[in-house]
Amino acid sequence: MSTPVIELRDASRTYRTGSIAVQALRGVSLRLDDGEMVAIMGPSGSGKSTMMNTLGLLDRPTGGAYLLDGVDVARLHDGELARLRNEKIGFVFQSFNLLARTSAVRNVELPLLYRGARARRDAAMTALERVGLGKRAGHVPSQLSGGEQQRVAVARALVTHPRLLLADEPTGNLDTRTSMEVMALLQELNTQEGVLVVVVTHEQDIAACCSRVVTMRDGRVESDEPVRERLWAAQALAAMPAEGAGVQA
Amino acid sequence: MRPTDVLASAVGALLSNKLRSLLTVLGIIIGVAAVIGVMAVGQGTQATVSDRISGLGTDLIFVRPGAVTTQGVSQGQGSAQTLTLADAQAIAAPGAAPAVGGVAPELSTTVQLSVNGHNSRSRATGTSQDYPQVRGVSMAEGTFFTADDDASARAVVVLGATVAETLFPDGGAVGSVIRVSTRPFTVVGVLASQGGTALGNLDDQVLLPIATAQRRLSAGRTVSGELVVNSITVQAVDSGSIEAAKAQITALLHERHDIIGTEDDFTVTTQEDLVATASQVADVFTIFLGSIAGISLLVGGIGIMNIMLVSVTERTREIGIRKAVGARYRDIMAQFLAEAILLSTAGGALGIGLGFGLAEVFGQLSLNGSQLRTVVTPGVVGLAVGVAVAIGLFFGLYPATQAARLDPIAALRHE
Repeated sequence: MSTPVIELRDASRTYRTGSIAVQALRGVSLRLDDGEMVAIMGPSGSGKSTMMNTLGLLDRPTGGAYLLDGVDVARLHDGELARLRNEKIGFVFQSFNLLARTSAVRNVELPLLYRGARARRDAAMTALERVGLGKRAGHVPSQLSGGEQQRVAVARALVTHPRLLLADEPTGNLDTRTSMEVMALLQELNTQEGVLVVVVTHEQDIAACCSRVVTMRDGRVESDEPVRERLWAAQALAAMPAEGAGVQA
Repeated sequence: MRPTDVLASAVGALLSNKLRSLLTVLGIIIGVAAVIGVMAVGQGTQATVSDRISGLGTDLIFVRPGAVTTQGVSQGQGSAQTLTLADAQAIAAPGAAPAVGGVAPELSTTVQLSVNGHNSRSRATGTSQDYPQVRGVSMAEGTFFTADDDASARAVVVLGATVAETLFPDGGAVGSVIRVSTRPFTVVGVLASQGGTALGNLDDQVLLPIATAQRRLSAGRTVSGELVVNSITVQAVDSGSIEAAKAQITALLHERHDIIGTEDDFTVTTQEDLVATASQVADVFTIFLGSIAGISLLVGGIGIMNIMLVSVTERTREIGIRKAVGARYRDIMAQFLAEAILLSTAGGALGIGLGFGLAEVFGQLSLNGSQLRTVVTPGVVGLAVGVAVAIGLFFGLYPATQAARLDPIAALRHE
């Protein structure tokens, strides 16, 4: 039995604003393994975002434990968390979060920059070609459509070969077709390379693309079920009537 | 993050907003240029003054009478008539002051000169045959008068360049007879032009043997009946003997003037003393002006800090992204510090260029007819740029810390 990529043991997170304490996570225990593709769902205020930030090492649990790849992150200082983020985690955000006025390939290079890597350009180009944007490497985000920007973000997330890819509402700003394109990409990474993909979403369609759905409510896991009939985004795309390129939201 | 990557990223960030970067560094540019320009004028002035004092001759010591105090009010240095020709002769006497090379006493008065319908009102200075050697002047024509001329109090005169020009516009001065305050004098020589020095224009004067001057022009005497002189210029035998000569002259005059414990009735000043005093004045002036210029550097630094703080706020989201993909505290710190230092260094470099330009422009100006001189020394350039870079570091530190401290979650949510 190998170590799970993610193990939460009774993790809680309490925010204090003056005398008011807000419990965003109230004892979550969860094991997520390689090769899984997990959707985290739930209404606003259910603790999804805190969960995401915690899994992404942008935040630390105030109670319980979070083990990433077997390492308890509670003992690590900020610099070590930054290094772990760089080495093990790839982020994809709802609003793409690319550096403006910076070409696609330079955006993809960014995580490698903080590794102190020398030969970054080749790796970045390979990642961009992988998401089908090899020819648009020199374009800045404002010259790219929403779908293309998100694919650049996926390339940036996969350029470091992470064990965990965290996607926070990755299709929230995209139309159906482009959403499926992005999901097809994530599914490909998940199935071909066994990367653990965690997707926070509201949408049933997106959750259906995953292998497991965790639903949160009031800071707790309400349900945790495997997806019986997984939706394959590539097939869904093929079935869609031919259309122009995705329209930016 | 590798240092070259930090630098490249900073250059990229600054170039992506060229106008703002330029306006930000303008303060530093002006500050550095002002410091260099002002210091150039200050040091140029100092060099001019030093040159003029050096232009008097080399290894000189100036002996002047002390001040007369009339009813408690000092009449100023040199107003007393306590220095006599006998003092000068005692200093010049062989063996009296071994460190003394040449002695040129001076007794000046203003005279009317005329010849063939041309006339001039000039200073007439009675002195000794040592004068050309002591004051480092050379002859344009003819010869200087001799010790024998002095001993015999002959009516001979040496003309300054300007005087010769005025009285003999067509040349032929040497050998002619001119009237000096109605008395006939034979011109034996004409001095080469000296230009202005620290002691006035030496070209507009005539020189004659001091014995002649005392007998025929201005027979000032002390209470005891001795012949007075205005000053005695002494040349030391060599540069290493100046202080020794000064001590010997002082001791000699103490003895001759019977000064024991009371205040001296004369002053002995070396050329170095003059240079030091003049330099001191120029230094104070330069430092004062330089400090004012330095304030503009400080203001420029505050400008950088201001823009860096705005930039940190604007780029909050970028900082969040960088942190999410693995930037550490020191990476963000390095990036923003590099931008601040790059700004101030670029400002410093452009400021040097402008500073040299300013110095050049100032150097073309003239005040009261004399050319303003400017000297740009590497030390000043180094200082100005060093201060500029230090300012960038100092004023960049706070914004960089603000950036590095940002919480990545809040930064990523920032609109």
